[in-house]
Amino acid sequence: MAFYDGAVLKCVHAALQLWTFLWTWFYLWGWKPLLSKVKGQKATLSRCKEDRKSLQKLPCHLGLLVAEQKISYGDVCSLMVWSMALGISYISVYDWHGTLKKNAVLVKSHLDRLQEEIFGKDKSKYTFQLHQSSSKKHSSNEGAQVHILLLSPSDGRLDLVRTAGDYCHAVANRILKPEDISTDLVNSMLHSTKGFPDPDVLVRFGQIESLLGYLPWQIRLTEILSMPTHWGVGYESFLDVLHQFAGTHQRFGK
Amino acid sequence: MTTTVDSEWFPEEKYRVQKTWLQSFCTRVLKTGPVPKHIAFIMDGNRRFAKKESVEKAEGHRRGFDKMAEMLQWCLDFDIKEVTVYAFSTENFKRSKEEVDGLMELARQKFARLLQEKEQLMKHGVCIRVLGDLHLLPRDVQEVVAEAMYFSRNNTNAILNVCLAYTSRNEITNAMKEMAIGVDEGLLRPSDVSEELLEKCLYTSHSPDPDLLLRTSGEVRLSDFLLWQSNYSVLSFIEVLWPEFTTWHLYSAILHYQSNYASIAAAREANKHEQAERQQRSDLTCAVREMETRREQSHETSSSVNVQTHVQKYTQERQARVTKFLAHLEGKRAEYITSLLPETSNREIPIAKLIPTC
Repeated sequence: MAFYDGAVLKCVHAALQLWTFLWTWFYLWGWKPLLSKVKGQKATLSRCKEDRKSLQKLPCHLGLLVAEQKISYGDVCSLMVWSMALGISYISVYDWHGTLKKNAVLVKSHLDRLQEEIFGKDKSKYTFQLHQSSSKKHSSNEGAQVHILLLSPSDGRLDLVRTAGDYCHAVANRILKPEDISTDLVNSMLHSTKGFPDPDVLVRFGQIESLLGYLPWQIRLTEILSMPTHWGVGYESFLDVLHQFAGTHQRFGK
Repeated sequence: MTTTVDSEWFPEEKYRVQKTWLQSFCTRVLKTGPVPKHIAFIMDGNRRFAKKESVEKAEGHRRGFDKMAEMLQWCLDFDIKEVTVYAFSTENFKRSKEEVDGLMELARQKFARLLQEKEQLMKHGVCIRVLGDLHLLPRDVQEVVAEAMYFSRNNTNAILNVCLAYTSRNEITNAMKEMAIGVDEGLLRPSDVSEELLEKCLYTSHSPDPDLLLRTSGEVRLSDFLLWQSNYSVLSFIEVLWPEFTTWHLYSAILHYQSNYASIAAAREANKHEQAERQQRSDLTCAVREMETRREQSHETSSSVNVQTHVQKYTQERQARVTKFLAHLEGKRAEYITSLLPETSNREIPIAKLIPTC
């Protein structure tokens, strides 16, 4: 009896999971993948400039989290170039295996190509600098308008561990005292996001609803928004997410 | 109306009466899948609820507390062993004096009530831990909190972590400070600092990382709550004000957890594996460096010690240092709690046993 009982419960559970799966699928995708692609207008510089006016609030630092196994460099870089065109000055991209960070050269070439495509003659007005927590620099635009940071899991918890280690070394060498530590000091000692403000918004791509090792310290007040995938992501749906951010209101604990 | 007053912290009677067969059935169905062992809640929306119902803010917070007690019953039903709630952030001290005082009064009353409901608490076997920078709270609140922690310390059936005067950044900073004190006192070496050690210095050192983090009210931020611990948790943002949270929301959150379970478990496993590898590498580097310094000092040309045995020895020594340091830290934290207890019970406490190591 108990066996049949258990089997029935399991069946109901399986049915329930299938139902949720289908429900999320249609909720996220609708009929789009089945029908031919309904494409919105293409992003152009003048269009982005126009859209920027409609956004009440623009993130100073936009974080992108790719929680998908395979990464489309073209789509990730499109997102970055659109953000540049909209006037965002700090952009960071994180992926759970650190693939983008390892292939920074590839990211750079994609960015250059897409910049050419969207900005054309105005390209020189949108210079960018690619950063990484390690000392390697992939372009040396000192006065660049836009700063792009590539991140991997080693910039998350491990950066805090590194900071703690550095601090303990300083204490062992009598440079600092244990009571000298404060959240501000930790902030200034972190390597991974040096010179970057904390992200105002994090757009998470993929079906896994988790931060997957994303920078724990910096995510304190970040708005976490989701998109089903970055593959073939359209300009308009990206703009929707930014509108979602612009509509939010923070109270800072008060 | 019954004459017996139901427990405020454990409204078991009320829950049993309200529970429908459909709810029991759903619980049983969901239990056939993986159920989170530890859920963290950001109970947001009490004030918006009060505004919506046009009642006082304090009433909103009271209703929020009742909901939390109810939620604990649901979790006990699911055999969820551990629940962490964000009750009061250090940032909340910035609110109006009236509201902060009201919240402190609520904490005072509810913990005093918990002391009266000792029997219920022991019956359910719930261990209460209050996490945060307790010294920021009014002294009398600190005292009731300490007493509740003390008498429930050996319970193992379920664990309730209440974050009071808590922010995660302070917690992480505090962990770094403790390690630095350890280095200063000669208990630790700077090279002993690792992910594992930092984790053990957090206020949540006795808890596994939450499997599911749930925030109500539709806000999509962590607001300085368990930043480190929720790094690999499933996040669930629910658009309902906390006092209006129902079992159905919990069911949907658990279902949501189940659909994410496989990928999260894999990511966690991979991370754990990498962590162990890093520790091994670090031990190797440190041990080799140690050997080299020793060789330079003794001016030996050929090494008489096997590298592998030396690395093993180094690892054992490091582990011994870390264990000793953590025991010291534990003792220090327990001592603080003990110092808050009323005089009479103060003497009979074996300090090291104050916080159970489960």
